[in-house]
Amino acid sequence: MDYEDEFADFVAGRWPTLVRAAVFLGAAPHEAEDLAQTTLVLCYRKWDRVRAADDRDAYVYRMLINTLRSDRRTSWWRKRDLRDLPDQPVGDGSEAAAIADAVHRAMSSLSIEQQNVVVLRYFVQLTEAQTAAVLGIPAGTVKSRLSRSIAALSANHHLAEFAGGSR
Amino acid sequence: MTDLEDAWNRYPTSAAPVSEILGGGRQERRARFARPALGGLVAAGVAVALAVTLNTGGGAGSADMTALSPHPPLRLVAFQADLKPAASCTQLLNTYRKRGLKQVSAYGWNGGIVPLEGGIYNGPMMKQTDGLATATVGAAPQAARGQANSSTGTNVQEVGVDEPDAVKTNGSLLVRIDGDTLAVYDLTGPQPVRVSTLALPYFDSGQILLSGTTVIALGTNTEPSADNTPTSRVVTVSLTSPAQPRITSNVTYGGTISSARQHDTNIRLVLTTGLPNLHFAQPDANGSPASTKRALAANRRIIASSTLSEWLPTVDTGNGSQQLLDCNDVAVTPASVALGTTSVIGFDASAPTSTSAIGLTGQTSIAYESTDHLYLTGAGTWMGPCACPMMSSRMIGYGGASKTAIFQFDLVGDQAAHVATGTVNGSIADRWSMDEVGGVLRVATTQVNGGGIQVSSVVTLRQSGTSLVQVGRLDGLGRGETLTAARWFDDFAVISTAQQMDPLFTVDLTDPAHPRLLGALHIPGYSSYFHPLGNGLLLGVGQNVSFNSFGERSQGQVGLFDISNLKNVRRLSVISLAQWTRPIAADDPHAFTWLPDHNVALTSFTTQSGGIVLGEFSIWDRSLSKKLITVPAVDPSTVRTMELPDGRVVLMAGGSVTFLAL
Repeated sequence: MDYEDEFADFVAGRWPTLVRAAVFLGAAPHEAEDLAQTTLVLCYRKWDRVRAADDRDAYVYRMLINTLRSDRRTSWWRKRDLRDLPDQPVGDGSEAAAIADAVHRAMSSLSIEQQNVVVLRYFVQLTEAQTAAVLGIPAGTVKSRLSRSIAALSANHHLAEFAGGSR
Repeated sequence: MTDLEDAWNRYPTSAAPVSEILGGGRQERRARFARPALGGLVAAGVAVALAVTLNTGGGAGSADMTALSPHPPLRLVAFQADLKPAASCTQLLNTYRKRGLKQVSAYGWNGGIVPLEGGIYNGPMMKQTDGLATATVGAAPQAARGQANSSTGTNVQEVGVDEPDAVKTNGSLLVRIDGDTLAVYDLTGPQPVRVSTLALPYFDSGQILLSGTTVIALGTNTEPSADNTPTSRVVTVSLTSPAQPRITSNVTYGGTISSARQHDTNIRLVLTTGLPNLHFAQPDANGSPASTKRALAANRRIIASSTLSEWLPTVDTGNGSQQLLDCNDVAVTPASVALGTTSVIGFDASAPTSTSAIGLTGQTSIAYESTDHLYLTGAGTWMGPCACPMMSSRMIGYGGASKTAIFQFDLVGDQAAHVATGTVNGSIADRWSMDEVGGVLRVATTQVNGGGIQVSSVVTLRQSGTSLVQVGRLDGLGRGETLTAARWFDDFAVISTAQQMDPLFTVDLTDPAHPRLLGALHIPGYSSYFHPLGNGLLLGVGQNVSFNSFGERSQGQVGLFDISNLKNVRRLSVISLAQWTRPIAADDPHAFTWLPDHNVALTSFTTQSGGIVLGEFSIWDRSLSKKLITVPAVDPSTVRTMELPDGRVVLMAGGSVTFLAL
């Protein structure tokens, strides 16, 4: 398969999950798409390393988390501030914004570390080992953080509020 | 959980912008992509829609989920560029012996090298700081507010990368280390109250990091090692009950911790292990030619029969001393990098005995860590990764090295992998002379030209394949002058040099390929530390040196600069302190704190009489005012200020911890 075609397939396959993961990790709707795009551009620049990696998904999500969590000073985050983008998510923008808002309120009961684990392991469905590799923590820590996070989310009053609004 | 699952599934996403991504990546994609494809693309391993319903009661379900996608764990290849790991222990030992033989004399190592102290080596030269202005903490754009201390209360070079210091806070507790004693304070009352102290066994001269309620103390091991070489200690202490701090692990390393950084819960150490302490022979007292020859022959034999355990660093987690590095996790550095071993060690704060470590067969000098890379530099004349070993020219002092090698490491969790090597002409003063933004490494270098005149440059480098290649440079900064401070922003840099009139240069870095000199402000007095305050303001902390019939006089000085127009930087206000005061931040920027909410900078100075004053510099209506607070005469490295999340400010001066009324 041609190099670009292969990457294009990869992008198409990962896009929705990456965007959702970004939203669940705390990004606003327009930021999430920006972030997913930045992450994939980075992957493309390093595509031979990504595809040679034991595990592409672990690599990609590590880049996503790095870009979101620790690299806010550079490119996408900064440009976002400067450009002062109008909020233009796809489809019904208000739906995306409403969901994102509810998700953020629900997730705010968790620490950043817990959010990382619950998004990667539970929602993106990386394996325990992949999640551990992405976050650079022991697999046992993934397990314990996940169980605490899920317990916290189920007990969280924001969930009930959200359930009330969406059902 | 079902509601969040519902949100996950319902969240609308656009079509993937494939062509934009290809277009964006194509411009800079590495040239060496044309490898045979690894076979068809594996079907997306990530399920987009969620099919699993989890038992929300707790950790149940993990086992079944593991079965869903059978990906092997991600493992990093430790050496991906020109540095090659040793093929075997025999090969590694041969490298050490061969290079050792070139260096040994009749008197031992180069006629006797002074071993580094164990513990934390803060590096020589300029200082240990620097940074950026447009960084953000949390969601608030930092650009408007300047850079506040890290979440543990330390003024750091890189937002998101914490640095060890004498004191740390989590907002409600404060921990400080003094010698071997850790002291814990409760900050929730009207005054800080010391709630406990804990003596760390065989520990001295330490600094600490704080991860949650875990203190990671890094210092010198005072228990003599078997071969009398310096060793270091990493002790973790749990503050789960602050009144009863508890040692949870105690690890010793053979060598000196030359750098420690923390990203989230990941701790990374750079450990420098010098030449082994072998039982060398000596010529007789007269140094007669015959005895010199005999001693040299004996010393050569000693090296030829040296063992790997004498060369490689050890680690002891409490179960006896072991070799820290596997032979095939050690790469051979160019012969020009001083012989010894540098180890890059990573661990999670919750598992300090479970480390990952890789090593180099050379002693690197500066460690700079960005949010996703570690850079180590090795000074010396470096000829590239060819098989042409040349006699090492050893490390030459600042301003003297003709070339400096830069080794770039990718950081993934607690793992590090060497991914590229580059060289720059000249020498690099300290870690604050380096900065990485958006994949571009910017470095301030100083070279001595043919006429013996030193001159500084800004060089930009980018990873291309396995090399860090120069993409641009700007030369001719401060001819005949000494580089005193550099501060890096996303798109520009402010650089100060000193001689008699002291210029402050602004360099445009918008296009990494073409760094441009935008302006030079010539003012009396130089800055040795710059701090971005946001809103186009920059604070310079330094000294004013004057010459008159009595000779040289100097005094501490703080200047407020308007950098909103980089072509026309202006000094808005300047405050001088008493004669012979000297800013501590010149050597250690941890002695500086910017309080964005108060518009106040706190920074301390040593005085002529050996005392210390803390300067409180308020910025109001684009001008500076000062208030001086006399601090008890203590070790300058124990004078620290930090702001708590509730806005209160703590002043620590030696054993005195108080709230500071602004």
